[in-house]
Amino acid sequence: MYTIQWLSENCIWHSSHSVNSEPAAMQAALRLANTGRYRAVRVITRNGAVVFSA
Amino acid sequence: MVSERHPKWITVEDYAGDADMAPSELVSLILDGLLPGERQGNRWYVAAPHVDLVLPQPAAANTAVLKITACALGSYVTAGRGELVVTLRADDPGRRVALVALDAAMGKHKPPRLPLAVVFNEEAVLFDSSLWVDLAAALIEYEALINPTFVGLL
Repeated sequence: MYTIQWLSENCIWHSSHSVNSEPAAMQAALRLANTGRYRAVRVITRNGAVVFSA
Repeated sequence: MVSERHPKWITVEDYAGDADMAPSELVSLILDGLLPGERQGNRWYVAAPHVDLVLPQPAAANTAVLKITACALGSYVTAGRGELVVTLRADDPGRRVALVALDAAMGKHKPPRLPLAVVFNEEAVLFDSSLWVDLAAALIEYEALINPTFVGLL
């Protein structure tokens, strides 16, 4: 299970729907990073490990 | 032959710059099978997604549009040269149902089932597996805009 989290301009971490598909999680995170709307984007696993950060 | 300016391919350098990442990280994702892309000549490219999320009114994300590079034969849709436009509405429960269905269909231990029926605004569309990852990623991007869950302060 992968959860995408993003840091908004006001320095608050948010998360969205969790997914089992690692490619979908990674590509969603890249899309968020590419929007330029967020200070940071990351993907974390169920046990809290960060597997992607941008 | 694919030229460098072909819209289907984005150099990892350009893509990484937009995402504020190192190009080598994108190459690793490609090699791990987590991002579509390939090496052409001496450069690495990311395949442009088949699904774009467009916000007609960026200040109000209640409605958005998915522009899908696809061929449609009736309600059956597969990745291709045409364009399919699907409207997303924040109050449409089918959007979240669609994301759950796509995620389940992409499960590691399930054989691909073609196609997957997804309902947006009470209209069913049969999506070929060539579009599942891009569609799921675009739906997550929209969820991030309209339905963020507070996690904590930095």
